[in-house]
Amino acid sequence: MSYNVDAQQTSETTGQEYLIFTLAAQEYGIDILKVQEIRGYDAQTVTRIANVPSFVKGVTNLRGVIVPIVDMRIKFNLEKVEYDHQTVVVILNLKSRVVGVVVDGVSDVLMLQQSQISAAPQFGTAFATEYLTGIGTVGERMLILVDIEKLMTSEEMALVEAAAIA
Amino acid sequence: MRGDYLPLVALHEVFDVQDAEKEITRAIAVILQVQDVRFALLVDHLVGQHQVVVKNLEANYKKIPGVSAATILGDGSVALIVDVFALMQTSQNQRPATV
Repeated sequence: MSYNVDAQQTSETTGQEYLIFTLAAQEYGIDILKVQEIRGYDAQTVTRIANVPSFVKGVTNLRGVIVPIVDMRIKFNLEKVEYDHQTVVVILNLKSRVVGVVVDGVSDVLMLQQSQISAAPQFGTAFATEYLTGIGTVGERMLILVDIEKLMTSEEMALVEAAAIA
Repeated sequence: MRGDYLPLVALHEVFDVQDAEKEITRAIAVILQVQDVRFALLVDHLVGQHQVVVKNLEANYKKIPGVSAATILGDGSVALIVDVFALMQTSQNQRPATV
């Protein structure tokens, strides 16, 4: 009996898992490891904060932790900002900072291989391509893969004090 | 108040609250003292007095002007703790009103 470890095959099968969510009928993927949990959105549990940008809905109590809630649809000026039974909040854990992001819906968790990911185009998405890690292709679906940590800690989101990043 | 004039800080203006009680005679004035400066805060109602656990907002978010921290109330909702020192500085920049 001999063990034949095919190094080429090993690297092909290691992919990365992405959480797929929708924003205005466009599908996006983020690294599943950054996702702490997914909750429904209940407006009554979010305490409004004054004098913050409109996309910051406020803060909420997540089992004793105060977590800011951000609505990406407002931030990127998407037309339909509705809060219905399908609206979810994706709770992210980014370098021990917990933030909630309101999205239209969550569809699945997919493992994507490097072969299914291609470089992001320079246009056609809601936000700058510096936050994109690529475009994933699964069958007919086009998934915009986002570096959510980079996006959420960026200065344009202004969620964190500039000095605190790093 | 009792012959003294105190600056009045309308909290609904500081926090941009749309549906607050703006009519002074129907609201409540809370008298505060910070470092020998006395001023009044205009609020809608007094709900109660609680001992609370103070939660840091900057752990997950950032410093919000006018707010020093947050706390979680008995019903699970979040209440913001007002930065009284900052309000005192606001009151010093205003014309005093009779209370």
